Amino acid sequence: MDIDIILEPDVSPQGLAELAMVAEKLGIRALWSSNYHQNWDCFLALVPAAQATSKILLGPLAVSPWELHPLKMANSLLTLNEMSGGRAILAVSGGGGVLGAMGWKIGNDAPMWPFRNPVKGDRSPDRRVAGVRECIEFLQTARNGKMTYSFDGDVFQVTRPFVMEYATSDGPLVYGCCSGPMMIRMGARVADGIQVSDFTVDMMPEASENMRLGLARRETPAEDFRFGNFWAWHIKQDETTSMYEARRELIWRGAIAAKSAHDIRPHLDSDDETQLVIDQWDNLFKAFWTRSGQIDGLPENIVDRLIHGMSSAGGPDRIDQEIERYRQFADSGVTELSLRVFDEPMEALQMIGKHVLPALR
Amino acid sequence: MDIDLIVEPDLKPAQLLEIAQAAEKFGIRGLWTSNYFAHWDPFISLVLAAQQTQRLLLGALAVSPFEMHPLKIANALLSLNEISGGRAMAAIGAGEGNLEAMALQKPKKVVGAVREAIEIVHRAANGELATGYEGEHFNVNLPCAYDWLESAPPLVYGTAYHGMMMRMEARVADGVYIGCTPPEIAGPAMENVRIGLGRRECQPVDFRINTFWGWHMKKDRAEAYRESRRELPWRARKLDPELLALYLADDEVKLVRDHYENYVQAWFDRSGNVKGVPEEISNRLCEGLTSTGCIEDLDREIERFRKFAAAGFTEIALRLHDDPMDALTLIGKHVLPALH
Repeated sequence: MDIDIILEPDVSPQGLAELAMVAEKLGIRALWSSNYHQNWDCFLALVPAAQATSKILLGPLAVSPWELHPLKMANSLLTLNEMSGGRAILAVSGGGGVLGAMGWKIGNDAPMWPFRNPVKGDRSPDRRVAGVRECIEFLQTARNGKMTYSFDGDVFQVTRPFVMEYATSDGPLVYGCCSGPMMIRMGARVADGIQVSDFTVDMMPEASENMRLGLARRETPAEDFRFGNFWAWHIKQDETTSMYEARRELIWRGAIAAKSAHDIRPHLDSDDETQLVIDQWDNLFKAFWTRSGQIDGLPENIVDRLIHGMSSAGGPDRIDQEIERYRQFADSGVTELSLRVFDEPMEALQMIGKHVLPALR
Repeated sequence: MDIDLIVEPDLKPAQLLEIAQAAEKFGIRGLWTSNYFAHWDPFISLVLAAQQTQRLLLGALAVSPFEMHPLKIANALLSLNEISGGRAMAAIGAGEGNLEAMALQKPKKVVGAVREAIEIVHRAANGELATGYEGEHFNVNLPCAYDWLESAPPLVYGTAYHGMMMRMEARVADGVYIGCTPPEIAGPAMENVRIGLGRRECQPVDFRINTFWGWHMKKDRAEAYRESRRELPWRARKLDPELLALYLADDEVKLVRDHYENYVQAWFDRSGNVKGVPEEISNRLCEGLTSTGCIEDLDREIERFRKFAAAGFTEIALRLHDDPMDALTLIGKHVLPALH
């Protein structure tokens, strides 16, 4: 199993290049830039890293076709791919924070893309799985460098003939950010890989089964299908600092962000505790946006159980335990674990390089 | 009046860098990449040029908020601006070919939508998006602090062919980018810009008025005309009869309009050979709507550029096509010294 690194969105392009160089030396497979709504452009920020490295894969995580049309996404991805000599990667998602920030809405009665549901009044894309599938399919079409006369999707269309003649390098790899069962099956059927988010070891058998179903439906078998898992890394020399960071970011762990009782429950002792966590969602969020890490209304032992269940946190003495967890991920079929680092990314990277990578080789 | 360059969208980032470095040496003000639908990303491909030049402005022309949300435009523009030390610019417009390629439709209130896009990008660049944005077409629901910005804000232009868009952009943008308006008819455009400027709450210190202008001056006259004819279908609002009438008789205007698809075909097959239209008619359009000719004709074009300056343009953006370095060298050696 390989190790990838996912960075905060506020890392500057120069800082990203420095991290990429170190990561490459350590043997990290890929470095992902985070696509947030008020930060560096996730493609553009990777260019200095592309110039400064020669092996490491580089890509944004994650971009939604409802924020950037698949045609624009293809040009951004292929431009980065050419500038990196064929080392670009991309994870396509159905939504995410950027889409939420944009609050897409439709003006007048114009059928402007992307649609706002006139009945529900919400901004969630209709046919999310189909839209992501079409986006992945379009990116794969665009990267082949052949003349294509049109792309006639139900959600996205390209009506003019197109050929990305400038795209001469191999790749890029196109992932789907797929955590729901239908999305996992779709991703396994059409993408080069999928990345699930915050999946615990216990969640892997079901994910693997959905992936297997999707892979079985492929028109052509995947030679090296990738199965990644986004996993939060908070381990630090100082346990207190680590736990503060983990508490601050706990709201964004997949099960909690989605208020999924089914996925929160395994980490707790009772349904009442599970409900309490869901009831305190706003306080979990407050701990993030105030940067306090202070979660009001939740006992510390519940918070600690959630953190240790859903992320890697604590002092250096936790590393062996986490490596054991990572081995279980590998045994479940995960091909790369994408460790999301937060504050002091270089220190996190060095720790991962020193302890985790050698243990997993 | 300054000179900018607009280059073809098929230039590699390394080629863009070479052009940028040479342009900076000659004293060109800005270099614009073309945002086409199956080509290099216009922002990302400028990063090398941003890293290895010091003064030249660098921008993407033109980006539509209907292909890329204004917040995404802002992030790309501001990222390039930081990397270049405050030299990025973008021209935002309603969109043309890219939208057609994506089968995207514009809203009815297109001027309002473009205004909102310019306002979002402008506010992001100036740290004024912290409380979000509530528009009729575009929203920003989350606070955007942009606390990573250190450079001077980028220039945000709006592109315009028509009066209402020009007035709006003069009111809200840092500059207006007027599409292919010969100096003979610049007066009404300037009047619209003046009206828009008059509606601003506070007058800008250095409002920019730019125009896109085709450059087909070459050593070989025949080659210059061939290239110019090839590009004619995209000139003058796609050969708007109103603009054609400046140079052609009524029956000639009709002939050109009736054969518009042949002009497009002459672009697709790269021949510049417009079937069904006498070459002399097309050549007259080349001369009226672009700078077309050879070195002996340069004085005529410099005189035309002086008319642009006299009309109030602060810069003209010369659209280069084949052999851009040759074109740049000609401009750098002959045009820039004459205008400075």
